Amino acid sequence: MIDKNSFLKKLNTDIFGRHFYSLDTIDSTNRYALELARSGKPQGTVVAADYQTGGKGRLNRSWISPPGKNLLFSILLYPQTTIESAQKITLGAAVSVHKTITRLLADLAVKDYTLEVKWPNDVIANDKKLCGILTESVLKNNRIAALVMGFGINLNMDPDEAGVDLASGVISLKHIAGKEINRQNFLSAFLRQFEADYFDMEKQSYINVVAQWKARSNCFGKSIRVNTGYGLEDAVFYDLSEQGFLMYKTSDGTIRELAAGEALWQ
Amino acid sequence: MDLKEIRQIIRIVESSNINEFELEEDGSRLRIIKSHNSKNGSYQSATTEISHQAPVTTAPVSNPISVPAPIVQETPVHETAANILEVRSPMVGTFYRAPSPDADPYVEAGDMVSVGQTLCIVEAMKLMNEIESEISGKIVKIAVENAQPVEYNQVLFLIETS
Repeated sequence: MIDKNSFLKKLNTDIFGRHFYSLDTIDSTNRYALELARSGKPQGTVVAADYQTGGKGRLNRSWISPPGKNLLFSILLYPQTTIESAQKITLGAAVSVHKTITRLLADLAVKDYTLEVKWPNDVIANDKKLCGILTESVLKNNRIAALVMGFGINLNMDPDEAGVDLASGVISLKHIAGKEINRQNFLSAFLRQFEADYFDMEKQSYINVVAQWKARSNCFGKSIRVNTGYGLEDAVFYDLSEQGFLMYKTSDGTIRELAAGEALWQ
Repeated sequence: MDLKEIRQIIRIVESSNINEFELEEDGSRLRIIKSHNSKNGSYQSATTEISHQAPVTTAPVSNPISVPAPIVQETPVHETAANILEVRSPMVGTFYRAPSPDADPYVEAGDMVSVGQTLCIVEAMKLMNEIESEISGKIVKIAVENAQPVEYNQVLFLIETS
């Protein structure tokens, strides 16, 4: 478990993480954070757990992580902008993770790696998954009443600890850096980065997020299969729209926007 | 409240016989007073006061949102029959009736729902938005199939109020 007192001493944010809940085991940090929202806990409240029994990926795809090795946490936010703007927060959070890791690896003088964001908000290192984010919000009267972002960042997991099925598709920072990564230091650095980025995004109605995301992605021109909800279609990743939606080019050259649905990577 | 909602409320008040209207929601207050000598019922002033004292929470009943009854009664906008109200999608995305593929749907046709109860999820860019009911009543129709794309303002549910 992350020791709350020593973590708070390291933390150099204004509000993010100042209300900090460190748990041993929980079904889902997102669910816990949403309950904290119901009881009126402030923006920036963070819930971290060593182990999630019901850790969720998109549509409840399970997120497997061995206890105490990685970082599993959720952060509670109350965006004041419209839903249309604020939904780009998923892209923005991946950018903040990317920035934090880039700085950490630069500090450690690690050079031989690749790092990119994958639509909408995975962070990929050496072509393997390093971080997943799942965001949940409650909408009331067409406004965001509360929003929680759950992060799973592979810090110190060894490849064989992820389970046989996932071993080939995931990677940890320890693997890239060649040494253990201190969880408290990483979380503190990330919260500082994300706090600055979040308030910038809110102030500017999320207009710069897409450009920041595009600067860190290598998706363009890659083959994808899109599931539009009406069927599967083979396509090429073309661009991101202003709203952050994936734009793809079909086999006959038509460019479409994937407002709803998902992209499957070939 | 955004500008669009305020405009909508102004239109409703304009076309009604209400002279004065006040709405408080999430720390914002909107007050509209009709000018007495106005022929076309245009408003005299509309003020919005925004305060950010308390964070918005998802508390189901205590939130001021749970008292929009006067608007609902006055507005013809989302009303189809005498007491049937439409719940529309606040965003473009994918409509889900349950929190996960193997879970029970949040609501079924015929169910009674109350203010603050989750009706569905609309997902876009890996952001799962739980849509809470703003009214109490009976679900008479679920207008979209599970996992189908929805447009902004598309009708999702019809709810019969008592």
